Amino acid sequence: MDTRKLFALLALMALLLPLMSACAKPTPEPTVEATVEATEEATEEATVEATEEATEEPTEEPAPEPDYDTDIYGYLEDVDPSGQEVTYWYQHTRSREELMLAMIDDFNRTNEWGITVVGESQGGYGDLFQNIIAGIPANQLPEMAVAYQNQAATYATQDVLVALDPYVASEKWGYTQAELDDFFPVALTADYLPQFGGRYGWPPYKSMEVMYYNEDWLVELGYDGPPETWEEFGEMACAAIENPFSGQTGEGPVLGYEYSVDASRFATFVFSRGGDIISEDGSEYVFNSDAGIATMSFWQELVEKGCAAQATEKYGDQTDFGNGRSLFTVSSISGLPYYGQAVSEGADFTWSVNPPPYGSDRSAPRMNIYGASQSIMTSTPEQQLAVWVFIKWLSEPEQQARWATSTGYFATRASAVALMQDYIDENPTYAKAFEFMKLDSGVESPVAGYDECRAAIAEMLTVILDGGAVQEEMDAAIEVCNEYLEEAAP
Amino acid sequence: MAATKQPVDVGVQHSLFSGQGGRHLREALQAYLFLLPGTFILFVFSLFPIGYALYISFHKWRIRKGDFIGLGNYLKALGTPQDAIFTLGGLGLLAGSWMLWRKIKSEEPVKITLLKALFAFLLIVGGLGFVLGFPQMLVNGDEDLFTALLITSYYSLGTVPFQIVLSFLLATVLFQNIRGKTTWRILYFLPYVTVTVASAAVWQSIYEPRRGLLNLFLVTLGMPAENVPKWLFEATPIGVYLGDLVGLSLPDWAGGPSLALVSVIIYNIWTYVGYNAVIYLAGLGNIPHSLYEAATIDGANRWEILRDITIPLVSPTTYFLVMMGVLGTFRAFNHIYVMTSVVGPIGAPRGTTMTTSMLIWKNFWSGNRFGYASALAFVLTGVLMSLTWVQKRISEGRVFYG
Repeated sequence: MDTRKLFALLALMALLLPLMSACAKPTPEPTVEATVEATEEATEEATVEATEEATEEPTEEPAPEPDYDTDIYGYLEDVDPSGQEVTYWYQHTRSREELMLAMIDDFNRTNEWGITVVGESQGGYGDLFQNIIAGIPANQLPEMAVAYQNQAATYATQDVLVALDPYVASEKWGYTQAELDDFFPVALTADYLPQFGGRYGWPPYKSMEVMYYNEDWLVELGYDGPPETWEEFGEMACAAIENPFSGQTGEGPVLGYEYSVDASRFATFVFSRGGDIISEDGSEYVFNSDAGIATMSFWQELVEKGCAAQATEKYGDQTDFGNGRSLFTVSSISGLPYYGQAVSEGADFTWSVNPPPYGSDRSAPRMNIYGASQSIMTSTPEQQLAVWVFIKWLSEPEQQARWATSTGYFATRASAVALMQDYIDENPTYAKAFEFMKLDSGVESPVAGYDECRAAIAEMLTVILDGGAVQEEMDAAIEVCNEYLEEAAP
Repeated sequence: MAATKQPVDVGVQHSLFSGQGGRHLREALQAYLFLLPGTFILFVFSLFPIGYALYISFHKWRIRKGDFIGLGNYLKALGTPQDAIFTLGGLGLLAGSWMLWRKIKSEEPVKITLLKALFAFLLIVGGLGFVLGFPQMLVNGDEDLFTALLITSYYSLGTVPFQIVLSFLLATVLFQNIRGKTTWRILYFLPYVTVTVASAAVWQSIYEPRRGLLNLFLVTLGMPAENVPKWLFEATPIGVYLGDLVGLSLPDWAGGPSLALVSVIIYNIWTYVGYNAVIYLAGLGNIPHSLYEAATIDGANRWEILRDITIPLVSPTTYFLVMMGVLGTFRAFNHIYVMTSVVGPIGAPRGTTMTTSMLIWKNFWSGNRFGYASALAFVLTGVLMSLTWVQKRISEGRVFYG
């Protein structure tokens, strides 16, 4: 019996030993720290050389110390990205992924530094976010990733993202002022993260929320154009359910406005009334303002009257719009090709897009222009620079035009428009929407914890649109969102 | 030198493994060597992750490890330490009193009075502790957790009894010599082997309010299109919903699960009835035919045979299926997630499908609260272990193993 116990103990120890060694502090991998050491050594060597040179040529002034952290970036003007291989995680699938892979292949073949980018699709935006969140504690991250601004903020709180300001400002690798002026201001504004006081993403393309409308049906209803204000929108939506479209096809009820429950839709409506989701400094959520209350009261009333209803299947709003069963939907402009397809396969009517209506106290629309940007994950200065070189290449007017004309997204540089002229001429709806880029716009919350808050907003929408008390539910959602904001803050 | 050492080694080996003790040692060594690979896998893939999750639950862990907060996450879920001690301690004492009550019957008369006094003490103190602690726990703890536990209970109670009854009836029918018996068995078993995500997505489209097959069928039967149920989109409690149909007004709290959850329950019953029936068929096959013959000779009718022979003798199967069913419903996630994803955020509509598993997922992935989600997972584990213990105790004396 004792012998058995002895062997049981020995067997247990044999089992625990590998586990204990696995739990032991791992030997630090020679990544960032090693790079820092290497950089310091290189800096010392460079300093010695510079001193020697300075001794030889006493008239040359020493270079000013850079205003960024050289431990992270190295000395940018001296960092060499040659021969680096970087992994890029994105959310594109199917035809968009094929295009992205083709572009990556072009970059890999043509860039003068021999940089190799390896593109890897992670599924949708949600999958991509989850994979990165899971990769952070496991130290299994790509060198580059697509990220919405709030997601970038979440990554930045974990110190796995680098600010792009030093790259943008670099004389050797950055942009000139003229080049920066070529970008639409709204595109560059969004990637500034107030919690960190820096830019953590770069936008080669953008999207926006627009209102899709059935032009033929509006004519049948006696209107000569799409609604400009929310009051007109409500009137037309309710008129539609009394007078179904003559060319409707398929099954289902007639709807004035068909919506999907989404925080970005709510943000769009709040922006259109002059409100905001979060305060400018990102310190608190403010969507229970007058604009927010007016938005939800109006929306709830539309639902109660039967003039608006939720889509009950995935992309049901597109299907019903295409079948001539819903007069309006509000959705991302990136859905433009899919709406076109739904209409041509459905009731085949004349349709178009417009900015979402605005509040009666405003005189012009205010858009929700958004879109994920490209972010650089912390790696070595050489790899980070290699990623920046690729991002800059993706942001060239030629690449922007290539991407935009194939996907329906918007280029972020004015000079790209000239390269897209044929496409713009062939696609008047896209051309019309492109003009909206110049309109006033709100920015969805670029703070850590907004992803969690979006779920709370979506929950709030379902409750209110099901008859819940507007003020009470909005206050409750604000409380939850602010709790997440505080919890996720850097 | 080597030649002189060799016999010494052999001698040591001889003394260690020879004789009665040596043989036991050798056998033990062999046994543990055989156990080693399995034990290693058990440690690495089961016990270590569980231990690590427990470690996470003691920390403020948002994506990365934060400060050690001890029982902080557990107290966030269960309220103050006093609430937890009163409630859990009270439940423990109540369980102890129950066990004691069962023991009293078999004790000698001398001890009975003493045990009865102890029983009364445990019952009063336990009950008092629970009554004092539980309401405070509801106030101070995580409201979402208690709501989720209630919804999970609805889900379990709505699923398991129906699964058991239907599968038993089905098995009884399939056990007869009917035509195409094998084909029927395969057909009923198919839902269980179908990929959950795929079948859940199909059911989601069946339930779709505007174009779904179910509502199209109801409209064909004459139900006005504007009155058809919204199924997965309907947050109204089923009692209230049905009450409205017959003109009876019920308060929400008395209404039970939402129609959305009932829709998911129906799917789950459909999935597992075939599987349970196959298990029951094995149980029915084990009942000796001679018992039926004897009962028939004694003049028992079909109902009496079913009540007095079949049901008692399949009770081990019933116990197994009930236990697995309860555990399964408390851990259910995939199909609920898939079926309700189109409705809105997780737990939609209006949080009425937010079972405990869904709440854990929400906190882990949607809220990045790794520490708190891990603590919730252990709370759920505690609930499951308690339920299993209660089931085991209830089944004692009721399950007949032949």
